[in-house]
Amino acid sequence: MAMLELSKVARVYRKGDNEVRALDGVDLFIEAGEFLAIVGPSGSGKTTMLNILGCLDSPSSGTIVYDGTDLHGLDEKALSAYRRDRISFVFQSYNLIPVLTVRENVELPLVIEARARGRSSKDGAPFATKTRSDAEIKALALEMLEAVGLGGKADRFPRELSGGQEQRVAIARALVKKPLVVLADEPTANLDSRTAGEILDLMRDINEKKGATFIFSTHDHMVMERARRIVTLHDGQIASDTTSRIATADSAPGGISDTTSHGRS
Amino acid sequence: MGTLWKIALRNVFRHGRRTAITAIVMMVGIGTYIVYDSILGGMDRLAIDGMVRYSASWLKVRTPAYVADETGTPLDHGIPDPAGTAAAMRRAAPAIKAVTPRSLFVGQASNYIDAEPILCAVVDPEGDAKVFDLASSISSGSWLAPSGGPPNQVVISATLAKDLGLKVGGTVILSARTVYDTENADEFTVAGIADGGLNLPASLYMSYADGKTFLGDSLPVTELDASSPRAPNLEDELAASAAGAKAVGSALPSLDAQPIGEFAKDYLALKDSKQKGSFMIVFVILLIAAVGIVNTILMSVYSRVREIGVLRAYGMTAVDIKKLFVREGLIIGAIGSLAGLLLGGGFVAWLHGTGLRLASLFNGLDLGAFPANGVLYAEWRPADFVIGLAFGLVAAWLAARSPAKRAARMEPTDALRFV
Ligand SMILES: Nc1ncnc2c1ncn2[C@@H]1O[C@H](COP(=O)(O)OP(=O)(O)OP(=O)(O)O)[C@@H](O)[C@H]1O
Ligand SMILES: [Mg+2]
Repeated sequence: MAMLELSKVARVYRKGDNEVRALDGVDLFIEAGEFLAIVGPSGSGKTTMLNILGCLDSPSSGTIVYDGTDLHGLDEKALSAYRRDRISFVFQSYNLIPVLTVRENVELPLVIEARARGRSSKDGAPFATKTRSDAEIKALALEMLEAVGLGGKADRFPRELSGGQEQRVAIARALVKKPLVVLADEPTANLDSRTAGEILDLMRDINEKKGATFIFSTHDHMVMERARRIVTLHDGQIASDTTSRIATADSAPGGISDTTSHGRS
Repeated sequence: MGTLWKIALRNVFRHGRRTAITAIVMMVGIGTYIVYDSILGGMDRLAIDGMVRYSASWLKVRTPAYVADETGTPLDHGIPDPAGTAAAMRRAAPAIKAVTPRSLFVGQASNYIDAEPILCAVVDPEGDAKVFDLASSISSGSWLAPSGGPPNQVVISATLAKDLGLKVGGTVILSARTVYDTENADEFTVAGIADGGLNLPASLYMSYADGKTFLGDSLPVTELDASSPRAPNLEDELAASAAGAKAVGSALPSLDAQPIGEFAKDYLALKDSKQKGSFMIVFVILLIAAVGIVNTILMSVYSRVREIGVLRAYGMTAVDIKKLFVREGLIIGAIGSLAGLLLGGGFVAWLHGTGLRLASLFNGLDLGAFPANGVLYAEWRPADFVIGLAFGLVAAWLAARSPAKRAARMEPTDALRFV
């Protein structure tokens, strides 16, 4: 069973008489441990897709089954709890909390989780894990910062870091709670190409070593080429879905030479 | 958890200027309220001190018959054995420092051309000076000489001196009904002019030696007035005086012992309406501060829309987002209120210690109930500090709620797209 199954997912935005079908009947299976890029021209529905995968938005029709859980019909509160326990985000503009130190930023998802757990056991119950102490949270955050190569910057504030470093912190923040999936909407769009490459390498490295699932959108060809699987959207529909058999990141330019087409349910 | 507070606190200090402006408005508002109310309290105190220092005294003992017929100022309801009674008063209420007799009567004062009916008081020059401030309020001339001085000397009020054009050394003709129910008239020399404003109980004062000559040897003592050390706070003073009156009243059941509160009744009733004025001040200024807080929090919300999106994406609840911004408002409110307490407290401490000379403030103005030579000391009112802080925090909380709710209502997707 796939970790994530989308079937006939559509998202329609209505503005007066106008109707925009941002997603239009998307079927997609995603397995745990994938490293998947969603590409496509501007307005093709990438952000909409990631929002729906991230439980930030609900489809107008169609179903999403996450790890055996059908998200259909969950209210905002339940979606929020699901997000909190299972899903992480990396954003184009890093979006670190400026008043928190690097370490505190990385601790934040765990703190939010602990807070929800402490408040009541009922609302987060289906996905509950054990409550962590402050010391455990701190240790986990530092461990994650080491993993992204920023162990020495734990007590700095985001404004003291470069863009690439900020995005590394954002990745550490995304991974610290060991989510089911990390969703990244154009994570390298604000970075120069060399730094973008480094960030992609880091994500891929973590994907390989820790088995974390990454789904990211991009416009950038160089970034696309490092993905193992590329889903191309066009006008809200999947135009192509290809998987590279070559798993190493450094084979970049020819990385997608050998591809197979995924079956679409 | 501390994280919401931490984020709120750091944001408040990150935007120091924004915080400072709002906090300063609150500080000024709450500080003004505290100072204003303390000055009001000081004015009440000054007015009541005026009564105590010139007419009511700390504790006044008269016969019930006299009290019943007070407006007639009759000379036939005197206190039997004034010396023994004074001693009994001191025994009953050890807080009493000194006791002095006075006898009030109605007379007619004239300068040979004009005449006016006045209230007169026969006093013991030495004892009176220990209980009342009249002796030390002589603006020209001198206080009545102790026994053995020249006869027929009087001290008159500045008002009477003005009305009849009298100066120190001048002559006033006084006529009055004696204890034998006959009319008597005599010439008196003005020894001094007293300045006590409206607090003076009588317009003319003479010694018992002269009083007995003028009104009859059996001139009764119509009242015994007691003094006690001044309590720093009005409430304490009123309470001590009431307790003293109760003790004296039960020790001397045939007499009527009246505390300060009895004489200040009308004045104290007015006090409550003045209090409303100070609430208006704090209300208006807190309204302005509340607008400032609404604005500050709105700015804070709009400068952090994407941060709100991130927190929501990571599963923070709308309730917690609201709390985050409400706490920011509360922190600003607390800073402003505490600064206001400090500012107000500092001012009050200074006014309480140094005092304001009324004469230098209102040069030559008629101050009515306030003695022109009075010094206004602000009163400490601990309740004002509690009220000020509570008002500030509640106003900040109420003000922060609506922008905080706005932050909580944002859709995470919209918040994340916001640039
Ligand atoms: N909140 C919204 N309200 C109305 N229409 C929307 C909204 N969000 C997206 N759309 C529309 O849905 C379509 C898909 O938008 P989406 O943001 O998913 O595209 P995208 O592939 O992420 O584009 P880009 O590469 O520019 O980020 C677009 O036509 C867009 O205008
Ligand atoms: Mg997009």
